[in-house]
Amino acid sequence: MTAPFVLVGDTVTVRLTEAEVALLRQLPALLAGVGHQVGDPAAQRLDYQPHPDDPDAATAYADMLGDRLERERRHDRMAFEASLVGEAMLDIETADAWLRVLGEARLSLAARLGITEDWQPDSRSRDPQIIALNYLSYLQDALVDALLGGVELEG
Amino acid sequence: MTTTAPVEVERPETGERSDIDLGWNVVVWNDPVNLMSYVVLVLRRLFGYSVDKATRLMLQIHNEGRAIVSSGPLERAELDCHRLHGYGLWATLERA
Repeated sequence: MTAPFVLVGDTVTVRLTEAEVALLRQLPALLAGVGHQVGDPAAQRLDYQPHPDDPDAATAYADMLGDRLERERRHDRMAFEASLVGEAMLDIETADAWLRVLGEARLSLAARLGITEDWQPDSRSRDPQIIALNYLSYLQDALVDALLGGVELEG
Repeated sequence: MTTTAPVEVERPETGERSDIDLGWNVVVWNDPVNLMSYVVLVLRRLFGYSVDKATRLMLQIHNEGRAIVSSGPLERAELDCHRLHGYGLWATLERA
């Protein structure tokens, strides 16, 4: 089986089947819809609180950050969507956007499935959400493997 | 391999912020979904850690439930925390 991602210099080449692209096309909408339903476990998982025991510090942090995380997520989803074709060449920045989108999608699906213990993909399951989670785990792992070959450091 | 375990320090319990910023630790908590290889990549990407250091921290998170991945003044620590959240890692802050 051809590797879906190969790092060559500063470029990640992508090779995906039509079925894979069709599944991945659903992710931006899935992520944009997180939190639209009351009590969505995915929204709870993706809502971070760096000062869990200090309300004043939490308020100061929220004021400082504003909607920055949400804006960055939207930017990632757009970069992912714009570069999602069967055969593509991604620069590292866009590959990182893919990494974060795949990660968020995995966290969202897992939260909605109620996964709270250390988890291994169950290849026998017929549940579409578990099949999707298994596939996204495989794909993220493949992208991590490709990128670990050429880690660039952020400033 | 050497380790750099954090040192326990006493700090005044005045209930007010000290003029001297003793620094903050950025703690990453274990979660059941993020891949081990992914956590290593994120720690290398954000903090420039070697494969050995990033792997050691990842294993500490996995085995002990948490690890301090960086330390610094509040503003810096909050930025680190935000960047970790951007990658879906469960990070919080505590006084060093």
